[in-house]
Amino acid sequence: MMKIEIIIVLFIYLAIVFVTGLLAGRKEIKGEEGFYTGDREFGFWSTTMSACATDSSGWVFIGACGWAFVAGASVLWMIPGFIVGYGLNWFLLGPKLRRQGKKIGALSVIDFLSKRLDKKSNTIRIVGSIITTLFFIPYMASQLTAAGKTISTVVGWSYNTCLISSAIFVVAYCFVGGYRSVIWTDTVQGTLMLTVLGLFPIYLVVSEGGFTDFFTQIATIDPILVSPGAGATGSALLGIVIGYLFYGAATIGQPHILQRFLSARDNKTLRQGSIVATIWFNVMMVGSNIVGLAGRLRMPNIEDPEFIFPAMVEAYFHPVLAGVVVGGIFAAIQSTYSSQLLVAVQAIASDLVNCFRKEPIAEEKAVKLGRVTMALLGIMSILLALANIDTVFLLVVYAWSVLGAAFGPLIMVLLLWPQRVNKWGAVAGMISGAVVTSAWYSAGLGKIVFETCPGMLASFIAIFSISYFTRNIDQAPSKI
Amino acid sequence: MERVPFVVHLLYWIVPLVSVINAIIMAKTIPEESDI
Repeated sequence: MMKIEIIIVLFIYLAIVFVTGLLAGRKEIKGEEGFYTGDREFGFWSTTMSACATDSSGWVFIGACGWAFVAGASVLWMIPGFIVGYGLNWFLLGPKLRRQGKKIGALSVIDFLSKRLDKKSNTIRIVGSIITTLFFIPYMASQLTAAGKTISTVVGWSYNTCLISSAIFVVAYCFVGGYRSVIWTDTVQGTLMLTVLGLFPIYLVVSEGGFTDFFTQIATIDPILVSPGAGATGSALLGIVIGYLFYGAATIGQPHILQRFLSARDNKTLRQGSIVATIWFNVMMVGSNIVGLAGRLRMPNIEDPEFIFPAMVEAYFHPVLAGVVVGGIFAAIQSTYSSQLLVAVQAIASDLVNCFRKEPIAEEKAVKLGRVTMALLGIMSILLALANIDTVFLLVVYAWSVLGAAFGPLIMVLLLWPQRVNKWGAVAGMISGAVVTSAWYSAGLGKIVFETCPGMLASFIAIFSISYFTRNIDQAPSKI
Repeated sequence: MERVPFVVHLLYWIVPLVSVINAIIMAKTIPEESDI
């Protein structure tokens, strides 16, 4: 168990987040637009911090640090991929999605796709909702697992108690304030994450004598850590680099991130946010990588490299500061869980339910239904996390890839070349992206090239070809 | 003292720095989509 000071600081931090979530919920929620998009009133800092904090889950502090501990510099080939993904999102797709989404009253990405391509039936709504829910619930369960482990390590309570308390904590403030609470708490948590991963690595590098001394020591331990492809050469190196590039680019199809563009106040907000978002992913990637590498110098014999970050924090930080940093880890986990929870609720309670009704559900009832669904999804994710099934975690590993391949190419084609897509091309694109990515991963081919690459290519081909062959059955969307 | 490989300079500060400069230039020069 860690020191009492760490526990006290962690609980103060959690109290601040909870109060922030409740304060956000004080404003009256007037129907679905308020509950799911916060009435599209968010400015640049809250939009950017929320999009970025949601993007960077507990994986940044746990998985990425552990990965850097093992593979070193090569992991940073993700950065060029993120440059492409974030560039497309913030400069090209985000502004178009925000403007068009507001014009047609889209409350979610699936709602947007359906209103643009499938006004007469509900095929896109059903397929999109199923893919989102199927891959979000295990993803959420994995966030709870990480939260349970972190809190359990710090506080010393049983893992199950910590896991359940974490879920109740997040569901409670989302339940009260809906999307507005998610954004407000994300803003607090994102700011903390940026501070922690901006300053801690600088301290680590400086304390080892500066940039050159730090990497010289790393190279002495293992030259693979400072090689371009973790020791791989030739085609294997090319496969690794392409894989990492596509991992970053998959950010364009993530429903919980695209939701931030739909709720932004105006395009100026996104333009200002683009610079902060670019700084963000660089700080997250380089920061977590340096922490992982510093672990090779300071704690080379750690049993599980994924715990290198909390272990170093506990060993080298003043307990009060360590409490803040542990709060940062928890912030990353909570912000992703809350955002995915709301998108999954929306997929079921708004997108899917409306498929089976002749008239849209009344505003007040829709919010109530959203809250009930939220409670149910919270319980489901808790049960899944408690079950601790291996296949759940296999699903989680490629949930990011599947969502990126299923929705990324479709959003891109619809916003940039709307005359090249119709309903059937869209459905084929979503299904082929999800199926090819899953099949590629299941066949173990992810070691050659990351599964998003074939998944996205298959989705693009399906969208263009099926839309072309069915152009007489269903037309491309009208210009807006 | 050994020399730090170029890939380290490339990935840890050159690419991040260029990407941020690029974002600033793009944010200042690309026209915003017209608002409704």
